Amino acid sequence: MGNLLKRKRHLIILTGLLILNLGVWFYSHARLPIWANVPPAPSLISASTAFLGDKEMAYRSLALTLQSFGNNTGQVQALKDYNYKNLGTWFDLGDALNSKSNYVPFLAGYYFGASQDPSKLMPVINYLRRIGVYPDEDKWRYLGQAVFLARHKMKDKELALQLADELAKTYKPGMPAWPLQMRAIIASDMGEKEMAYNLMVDSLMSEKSNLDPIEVNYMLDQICNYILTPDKRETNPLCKDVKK
Amino acid sequence: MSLILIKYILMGAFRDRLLWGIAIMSLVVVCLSVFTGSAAIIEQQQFIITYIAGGLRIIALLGLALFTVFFVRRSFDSRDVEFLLTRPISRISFIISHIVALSILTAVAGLFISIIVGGLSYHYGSQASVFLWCFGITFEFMIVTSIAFFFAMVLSSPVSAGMATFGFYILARLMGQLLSIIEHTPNAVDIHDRVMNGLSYIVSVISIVIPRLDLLAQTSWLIYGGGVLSDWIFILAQGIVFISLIAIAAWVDLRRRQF
Repeated sequence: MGNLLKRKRHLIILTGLLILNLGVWFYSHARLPIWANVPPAPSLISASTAFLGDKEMAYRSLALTLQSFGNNTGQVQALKDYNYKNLGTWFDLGDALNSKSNYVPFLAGYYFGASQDPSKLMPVINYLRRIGVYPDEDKWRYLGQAVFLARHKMKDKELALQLADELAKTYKPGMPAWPLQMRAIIASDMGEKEMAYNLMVDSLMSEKSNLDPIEVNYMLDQICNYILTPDKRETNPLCKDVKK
Repeated sequence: MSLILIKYILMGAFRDRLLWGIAIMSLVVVCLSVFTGSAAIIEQQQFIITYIAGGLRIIALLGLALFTVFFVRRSFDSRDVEFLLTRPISRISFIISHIVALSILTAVAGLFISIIVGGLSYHYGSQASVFLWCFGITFEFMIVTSIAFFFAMVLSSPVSAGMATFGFYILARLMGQLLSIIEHTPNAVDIHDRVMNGLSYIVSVISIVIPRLDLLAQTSWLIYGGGVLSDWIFILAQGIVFISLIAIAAWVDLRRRQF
């Protein structure tokens, strides 16, 4: 018996260690990663150093990380539970690494902007407000999204009007007319009919030669049927040929 | 320069299946990049190109540097170097033949990667500065294989030589970052300022002999373009100057060596 134990001791030790390993597994297998919410973004230097100075690689990798926040531990989180203040630092990092790409602006405007808690949206709006005035093609659309978030999600019409004013300044011939019309629509919505009238007429007169006839008709319709009162409409020469 | 020696080195690479290894690993990188890039909700093509470019760069670099280090150390350990130096080959010719042979290998690897990245960029219709990137990546490989050759000649352990090569590569990739964060305080008042000034001078001095690999093949060129004539000239000039420096340093070391 003693001889047998001596000859098989390596197998006995192996079996004992396997059992010990099983004990460790019983303790650890139920411990799953816990969602620790959005951490603050690393600095620009740290982020690009981690990718050996390749800023494009850093941007793309961090953008995918941003997209997967809240969904990378097998537990899907609601956007309202995200730390939007920290999320704002990730947007800024993305902007510092690559200001040409539309990926992070798209995520910010159309994904993180859909939070169930609109009171948290200021970091998203501030970010979209900043990149919306960049001269690259179509960046102004993100400022348009910021106007939408401020007006319809946060219900902050004062902020929406400020943003719409900035949006109108990005207008260039060839763009659709709604960036020009937005501030007048919001002013009208706020009851500032005179301001709305002046803004809409100003947009119409200054850009009439660049606008599509359909856009011109829409603006006339807004002026005559929504902004002006019926009696003012009768006397306004712009409304002469506009249907009621 | 000895054609026989160049052929001997190229045969060594062929025997070690270096290029086959790079080709197979490149296929894996392409598949993984397409898989990962497809998770992006927009700009998928840009993601795929970025991941492929970054992945292929590392795979080819690892293969070329490891082959160079182990090939050279093996040549020393099996006394091939001593045998070769008994032939009518001068020591400078020995060094130049190695540099040329390794450059041929890196050019083949660079061409292979360029075909993949260029083909994908053409497929996705994003051909901004592709040729410049391919030119830059080939010179990046040439510089790293030259430095791997130098460390393998100087250090007797292949592990030390390999680690020194990768350390050098990381430093060269990050040199732009380091230079951007150094700070010189002209009128240092406390110990912190003096230490920072000292460290900044050290980094500035080190940067003289470290090439700027971060400026060679910028991934953003593949997506947004932006490369200009001065980039081509810089890549070529830095490649020639640095590889020449390494060749001379390796020659000086070999001259002092007793067999």
